[in-house]
Amino acid sequence: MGLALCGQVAQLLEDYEDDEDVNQQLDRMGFNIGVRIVDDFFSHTNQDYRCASFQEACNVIAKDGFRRYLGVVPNLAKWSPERTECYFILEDNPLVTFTEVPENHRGLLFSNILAGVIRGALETISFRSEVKFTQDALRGDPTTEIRVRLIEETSDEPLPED
Amino acid sequence: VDAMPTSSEPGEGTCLFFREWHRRDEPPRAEPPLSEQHLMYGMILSIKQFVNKISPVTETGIEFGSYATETYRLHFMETASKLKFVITTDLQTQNMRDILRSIHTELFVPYIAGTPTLDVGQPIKSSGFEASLDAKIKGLPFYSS
Repeated sequence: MGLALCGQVAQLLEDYEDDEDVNQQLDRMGFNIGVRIVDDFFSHTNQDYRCASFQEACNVIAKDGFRRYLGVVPNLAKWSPERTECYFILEDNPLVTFTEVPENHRGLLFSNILAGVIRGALETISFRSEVKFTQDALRGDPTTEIRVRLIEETSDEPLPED
Repeated sequence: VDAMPTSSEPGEGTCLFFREWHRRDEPPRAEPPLSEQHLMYGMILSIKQFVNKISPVTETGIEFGSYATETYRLHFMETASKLKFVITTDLQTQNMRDILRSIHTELFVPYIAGTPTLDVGQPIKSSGFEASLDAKIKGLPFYSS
């Protein structure tokens, strides 16, 4: 998986000049994965389960989702008082075990695909969110940290007008 | 089993897939008229809200599973990703929930979610999905015309 991502990032770096554009592409790719992974996830686990709150959804993604698909469990920290924002803290990021980011690509968020996956998965279960890397150990930060913030809950489906 | 159309719809109520096996007096249709799709979507949403509203227990998120008329039964199953699976059968067919669930697990996930060229929210154009679904339904013990 890490190597596959390496190949993908290499291609993106070739196709886009700006690191920020590459990050955005990675986020979009991740989003598409996230949208699909939800169905796969529920087909392997308890299908009747519904996350009642944003907090619960984040917990399930971190504890069950990350474990299943990435083999690590991030810690959730720094919950906002309204429970609409938290940080996924990854002690160990298996995507980047052998990866180094070259000097001339300091803006690159190699693992930004993870942010996309979280965003896609949350949106599919009706929690529209903003997901951003705030720290990346690969760039020399002390930890890898992804901020997840709820924008709106879309659970109330509107009736079509006719 | 008399009539078995099935459709599943995401958030906006798009009909992703439709199929008929038996329907009396009519040649099978490739797709229901749009008005029927809208009615189905509206009905499902209304029933879902209604079921929760009149619930005597405080828990929310109760799932509506089926309703029966004098002539047919409609079965409903929704995934956490908001995909809705609907099938109508005759009255003898009691519980299709597990079957609808396995259509999601065994057919939708590998054929649709597992195919990069197919968009999860778009109408299903997959001959593999169609063939497997057909085989699955026709292989049900109570499937007979």
